[in-house]
Amino acid sequence: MGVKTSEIQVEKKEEDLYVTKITREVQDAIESASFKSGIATIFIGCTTASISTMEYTPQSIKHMREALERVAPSDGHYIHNTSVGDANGHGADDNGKSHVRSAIMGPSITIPFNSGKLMLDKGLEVVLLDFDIIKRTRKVIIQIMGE
Amino acid sequence: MNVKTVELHFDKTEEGIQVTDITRQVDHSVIDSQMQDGIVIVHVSSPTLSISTMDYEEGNIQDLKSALSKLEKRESGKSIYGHSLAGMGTAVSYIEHKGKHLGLPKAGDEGSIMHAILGPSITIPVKSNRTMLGKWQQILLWDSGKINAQARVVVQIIGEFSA
Repeated sequence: MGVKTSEIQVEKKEEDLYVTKITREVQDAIESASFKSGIATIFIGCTTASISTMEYTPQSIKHMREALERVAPSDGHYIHNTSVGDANGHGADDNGKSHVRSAIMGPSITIPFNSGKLMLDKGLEVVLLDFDIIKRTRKVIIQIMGE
Repeated sequence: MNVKTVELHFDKTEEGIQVTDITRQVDHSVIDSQMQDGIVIVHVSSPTLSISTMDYEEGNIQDLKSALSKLEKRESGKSIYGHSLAGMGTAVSYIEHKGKHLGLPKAGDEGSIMHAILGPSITIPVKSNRTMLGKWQQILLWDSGKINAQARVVVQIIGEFSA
C-alpha cells in the first residue's frame, strides 16, 4: 500500500461557470503510480471552485449553469460582495455567488479504481467546476492511494 | 498503511444554524497522528449536521445560510423563484419522512435540507503531515440541532505513518 500525490494546472478560459474535464489526468496519475487497486482523491484547495463528476456535454453543462443560477443567482444580493473583509483584510469582492456554489458542490471527490482503471461508467467524467468571475489558473491535487 | 480515528465534540450554543470553524482541531488531529501522506476524512453522522469547506468570512456564512433558506422555502411551497430544482424535491421528501421519526425540522424550517445539500463529509489529502487546504479554505461544521446539544465529528486519518 502506498500514496502518490501530484498536481495539475487547469486554466479557466471564461468568466462564467467553466467546466473542465480532468478524467484523463486522474487516470494518468493512477497509471504513473503503478497501483492496481485503491482510491483516487481529487481535491481543490480554493473556495470558489469545486470537483465533481458529471456528463460532459453542452446540455449537461447548460443544465448545471441553470440549476446554479437558481441556487445562487448571479444577480442576487451577497453580503460578501459588500463586506469589509476579515481581520486579514481579505473577503470583500464581487464573487459571493462563487463562494456559495463552491461550498455546496464541495472541494473533493474520492473514486475507487481496480485493475488500474477508474471505476467510472462510460459517459461520467471527473470535472473541475470553476465558479469564479475572472479567468485564472487553478491547481488541482490528485492523490492516489493503493497497492 | 494505517488508520487512526479521532472523535471531536462541539457544543451547540446558538439558536438556528451554528457554524464553527474546526480547521485547527482537524489540523491538530493530523499532526498528532504523525501520518505523513494520505487522506483525512472529516465526517458527521447526524441529519442535523454537515461538513463543508469555505472561506470563513461572515458575509460568506450569511450568504450560504440565505441560499439554504431560499431552497427550504421553495421546497415547502413558499417559493421565491417559482422554479423546480431537479432532484431536490426527492431529497426533501426523504428528509421529511425520516424527520417524523426523529423529531427533525419539517420541510421549510431552518436547517431542514442543510444536511442533504452540504453533505456529511469531506476528504482532504495530507502531504508531509499537513492537510493540503488552501490559504483561505477552512473546514466548517454546520449544526442545525438543538441548543445545548453536542455535535460529534469523526476525523479518520488513513495513510502512511512515520516509523
